[in-house]
Amino acid sequence: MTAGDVAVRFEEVAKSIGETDVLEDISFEVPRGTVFSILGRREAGKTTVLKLSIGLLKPDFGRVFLNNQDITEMDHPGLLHVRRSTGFVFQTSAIFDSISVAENVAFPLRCATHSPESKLRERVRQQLELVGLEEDSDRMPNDLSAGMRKLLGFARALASDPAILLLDDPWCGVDSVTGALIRELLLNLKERQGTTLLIAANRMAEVRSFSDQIAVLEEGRIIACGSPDEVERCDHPVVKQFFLQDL
Amino acid sequence: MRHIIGLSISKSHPFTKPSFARHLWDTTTGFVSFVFRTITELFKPPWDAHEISHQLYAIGCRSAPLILASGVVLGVAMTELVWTSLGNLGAVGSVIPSELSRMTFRQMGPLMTGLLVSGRVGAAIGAELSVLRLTDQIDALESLAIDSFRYLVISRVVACIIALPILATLMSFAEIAGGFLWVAAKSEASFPLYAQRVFDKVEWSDYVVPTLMTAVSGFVIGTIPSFLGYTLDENAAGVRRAAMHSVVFSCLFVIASHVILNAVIPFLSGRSFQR
Repeated sequence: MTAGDVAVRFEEVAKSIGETDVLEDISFEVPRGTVFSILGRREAGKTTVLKLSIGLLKPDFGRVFLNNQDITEMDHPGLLHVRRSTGFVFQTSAIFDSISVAENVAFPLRCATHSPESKLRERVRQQLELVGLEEDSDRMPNDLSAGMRKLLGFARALASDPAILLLDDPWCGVDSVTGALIRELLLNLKERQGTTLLIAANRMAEVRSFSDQIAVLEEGRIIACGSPDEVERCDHPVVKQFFLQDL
Repeated sequence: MRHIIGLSISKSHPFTKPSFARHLWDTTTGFVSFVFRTITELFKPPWDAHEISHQLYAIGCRSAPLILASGVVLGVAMTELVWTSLGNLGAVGSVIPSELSRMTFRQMGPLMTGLLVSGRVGAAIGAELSVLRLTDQIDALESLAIDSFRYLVISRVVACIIALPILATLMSFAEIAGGFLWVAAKSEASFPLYAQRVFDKVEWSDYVVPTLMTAVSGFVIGTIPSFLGYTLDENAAGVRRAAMHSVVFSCLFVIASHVILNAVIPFLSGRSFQR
């Protein structure tokens, strides 16, 4: 694998927030076009890894590469530029609650491109159709359920066709039908569009079937990393717990 | 019980002071760098005209009723004060309009506008930005390659800088109108005569300089609450604190900037307001 094939790379990254050491000595790389899942319990540091990946946080130590560019010391305009090729689905959905569903999807497109309004509307319609929210385009986000907000977060993140998609616990707080739709969306992104997916999750069952690599995070350290089968062979009790959970 | 008290003392004492000092230092340096960044970004094009006009509506237009109503009431109150103070000296009808207009244009209009807008807009900006921070909406903007600082902070600061002089002008004229209501109720004075006396002793510089000074209040009202909201890293209680501190510190800094500019500008221009 050449350096150009790597979408995200962490080199000995450490991060503290306040007095707490959130991450210690984290190293991994995500080859382009693959699915890399970070598995961990609550407060294991999964969200921090995702935020570090696109420069929303800066590491205290180590280096982070996105699209083969070192973003560790990158200035803000540079970070905004590299983020154009990424999408982020937040655990809390982070929907802009003062604008309508359709405007949530249109807003980043309007900021990034100078497309005519008719083209933009068509793009928004396509994105909402993709996640089954086309009937809700005029509703306000506060009127949506948690699952619908998550889907809206997907539509917004996918609007600009990102090459790398980061997902923070995409199955958190959603019903099983929406969960299945999300899994289908991710499979589609992986197989048809070759999107690199970096997923933070807390259940093995959610990610095992379509992950190329899984890293298990425990108290800020990676305790197992490899293909799902390799991780299954790991003797660490926490890793075993993740597999037992699914039985 | 003794054990619990002993534990709480031994636990809190060694750590409380250094952490407070550290917090104060971090906040101060953070604020200075935030102000520096705001000033730097203020002069960098492009400006988001759509968002600035949206904020101008929210900050300026929506504050106008409060400013007008408060101005009229203040005008009535100030006129009553002048009336009762100068009542025994006679010629009150001719003195009130000119005294009121000088007080209003130079001091009360700009200062009261700053304080009222600090309360209304400062709290709103502080609470809004802190909620956006808590709900990851600021990170969402950044993840979509949108410069959240320019979009959220600069647009609000620019809107405040533009809105304050306009609101201060409204306030001054509302105070003068309030003064007329009092004078009309107490005497037979006509509006044309009152209006003529209002502008008798007022020069353009009495209006222009203090009103333009309110742009500084606008900067203060835009920047302090933005700092408190944008940099919030706490829980829901932090939103309450951010909104409260936005009002308190905006008011304090508005008063301080008003006092300093009132002292510095006449000194620099070689002209005193004390005629």
